[in-house]
Amino acid sequence: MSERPRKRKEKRYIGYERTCGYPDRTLEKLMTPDVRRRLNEIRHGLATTTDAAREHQAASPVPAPRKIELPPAHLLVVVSKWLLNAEAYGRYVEPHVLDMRLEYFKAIAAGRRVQARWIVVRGYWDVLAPLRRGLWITITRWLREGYG
Amino acid sequence: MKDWPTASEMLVMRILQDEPRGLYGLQVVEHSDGVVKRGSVYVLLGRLEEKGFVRVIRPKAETGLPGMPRPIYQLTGQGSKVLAAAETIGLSFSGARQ
Repeated sequence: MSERPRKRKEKRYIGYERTCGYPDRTLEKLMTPDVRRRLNEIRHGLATTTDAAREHQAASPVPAPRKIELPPAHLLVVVSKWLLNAEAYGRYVEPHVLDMRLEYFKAIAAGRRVQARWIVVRGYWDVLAPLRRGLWITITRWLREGYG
Repeated sequence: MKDWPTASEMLVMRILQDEPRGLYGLQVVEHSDGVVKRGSVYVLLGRLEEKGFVRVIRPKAETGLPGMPRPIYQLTGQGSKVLAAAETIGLSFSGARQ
């Protein structure tokens, strides 16, 4: 007796995006390359529906791509959150980062870019002590909970 | 006593005592006339918070400023008692703004 072939697992997930909000990658796998390209155009707002609209788009100047800048000390925040526990990060490092960002954006708003750079450099230097303290708290707590 | 504040922590508490509404970390640095540095202010405030002499208020938003609001530090009742006791036994607070 031959066993009935099971349905492909992905098919059950078609339409998942609509209900759960996650991108439905399985649906894309079933598409032909043309359909997939068209879908990407629609997603990125590049699709045009009519010939007139397509001509208008071709005639209009292409907008310059926007550069998304990360806030200062982004890397520091990522590393600190990885190194420290939440309490130590919130108590020692986060207020320092908030101060630095506030001063940085004030300087940027006033058009003082050199001063803004200096604020970031100084901020990285000043955060060493809170980071050290946070590390100490994290390690001692970890040891106490692990061995205590 | 283990929880007794150090001289630098006493100075920070003294500064906070003068401002019942609380201060930001950078304001503590300004009020200390250079005695408390930017790098050490949150270490001192964090230690005081651990000891229960300072409480942290995290407002929902700062007026007129974007981004996450900064914490405000206030002296607790226990902190006030410790300061009063320190004054009674004659500890001095060098560097604090009068």
